[in-house]
Amino acid sequence: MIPRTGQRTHRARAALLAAGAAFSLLIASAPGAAGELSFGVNAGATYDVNRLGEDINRYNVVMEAYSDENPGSMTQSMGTPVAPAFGLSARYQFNQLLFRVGLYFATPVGSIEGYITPADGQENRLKISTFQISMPATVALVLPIKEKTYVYLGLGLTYHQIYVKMSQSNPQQTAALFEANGLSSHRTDQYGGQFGGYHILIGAEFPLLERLTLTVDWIHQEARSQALENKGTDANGAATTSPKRTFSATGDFAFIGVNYYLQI
Amino acid sequence: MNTVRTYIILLVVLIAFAAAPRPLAAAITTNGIGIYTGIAPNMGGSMHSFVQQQHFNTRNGIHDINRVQDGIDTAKIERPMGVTVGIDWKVIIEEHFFFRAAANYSKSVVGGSGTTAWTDNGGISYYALDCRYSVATFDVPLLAGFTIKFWDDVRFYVGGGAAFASGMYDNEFSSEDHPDPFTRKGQFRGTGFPLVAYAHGEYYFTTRYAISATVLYYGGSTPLLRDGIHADTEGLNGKGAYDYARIDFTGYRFAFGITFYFGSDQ
Repeated sequence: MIPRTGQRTHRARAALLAAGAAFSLLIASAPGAAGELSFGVNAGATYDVNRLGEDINRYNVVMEAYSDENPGSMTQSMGTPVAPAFGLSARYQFNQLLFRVGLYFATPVGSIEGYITPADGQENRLKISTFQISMPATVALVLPIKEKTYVYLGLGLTYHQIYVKMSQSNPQQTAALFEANGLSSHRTDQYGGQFGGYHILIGAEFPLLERLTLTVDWIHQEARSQALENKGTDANGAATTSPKRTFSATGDFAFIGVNYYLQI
Repeated sequence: MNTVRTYIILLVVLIAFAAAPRPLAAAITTNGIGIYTGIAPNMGGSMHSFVQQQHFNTRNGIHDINRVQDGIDTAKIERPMGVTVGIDWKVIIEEHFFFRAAANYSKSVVGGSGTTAWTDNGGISYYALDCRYSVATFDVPLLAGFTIKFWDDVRFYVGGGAAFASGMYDNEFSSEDHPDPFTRKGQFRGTGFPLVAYAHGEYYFTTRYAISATVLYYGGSTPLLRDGIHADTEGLNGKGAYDYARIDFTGYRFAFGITFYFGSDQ
């Protein structure tokens, strides 16, 4: 049975809460045990956050072909940007097991913008804004090399929150062109939602100071949202709730960060 | 062009640093030259283009080109898998840090061709559409990261960077049983600067030679490109003469190889 809208969000949230509770219990129930607790901050990057590259490509090919076939028209394609990511993490290591809970935020550098100006027409400027907030909970196997020098490989669940908004400044100018090619002619299309997924983590850790280490992480995540309702406006500015659509949070993130070990 | 210039400058700086006179290079412990080969699954991404979108009922290129219809002899068009070969140069600094430059060539060798069912009159009649996708890339990545040696004969690397990549994407769509038979070809050439993530493991079977396994992830594409080679106007009411597409470098590569180390220590 395919989970209904909302059920997947609830399950993802419940799974993450369970992971967080287990993480807390593990630390609280092991006073004086050989575990190590640490907190970290990290920064990294990903390409094509929320997998909008294909949507952008569909608009670009239509605008470029129109511009070639219609002398006097002008167009500028939208780019698919790199997105920096910033995050926090809490880690508890017990023997060869590492429990990690993270939180990171990713959004493209600058805005994703393009435009099309029909011959003797007005410019229709397209703009896309998007971000992703992800909370992975990971269980990893640790290969210790020496004190605070590790390689680790793990997997876990992730809770994602995404936001995507596409706006057109003058949608009436290109409504016929876009609609004929299966593209939106709305003034705004706005989507947001929460859903779950899974991830694989591989990383390494090196000591900098007695309690400070350097970490390098590569996370591959897989997730797709349920059908999200549009909270946009049509070409005339009237509210619209269609079309519903899904978004993918599948992608790869590379992080570098520092980790501070607490004494417990 | 500014990005290309910056990339070349970075490459020159890396080479100069590694080849520097002894006092300057005192921090460098080891150099390694490696060769490797492997596979690149799902090369080229969706390979979506304007002609596919406007004339062949697709919104996502090869990902949704496959259709079946009674009476049409179809053959599934699989996503192409490629072979990759390359050579790399690694510089290990102070035992834990590395820089890596490489040159790689990848080409799709399996998949990317077949026959789908297609209609141009809203489903009143269907025709066989023969499709062919092929992609090849040449890239020069510059990477940096961290390396750990353990058990005296195993070394692990993890890092990232960016690559200068040049891509070649060709597509061809033809329908012989259509009342107005046609062939539409597209040829795209372009460059981009994808991000690269890198994980690599080595086992030293001698003090100088190591066998290796590598996982790479590329993320990036070229800007939108126009096919300026073909002007196919026969059939299809003369439409689709030129095609537009980007070359997507995004995807994984898995490789195995051998590395020779030289220098003070590995």
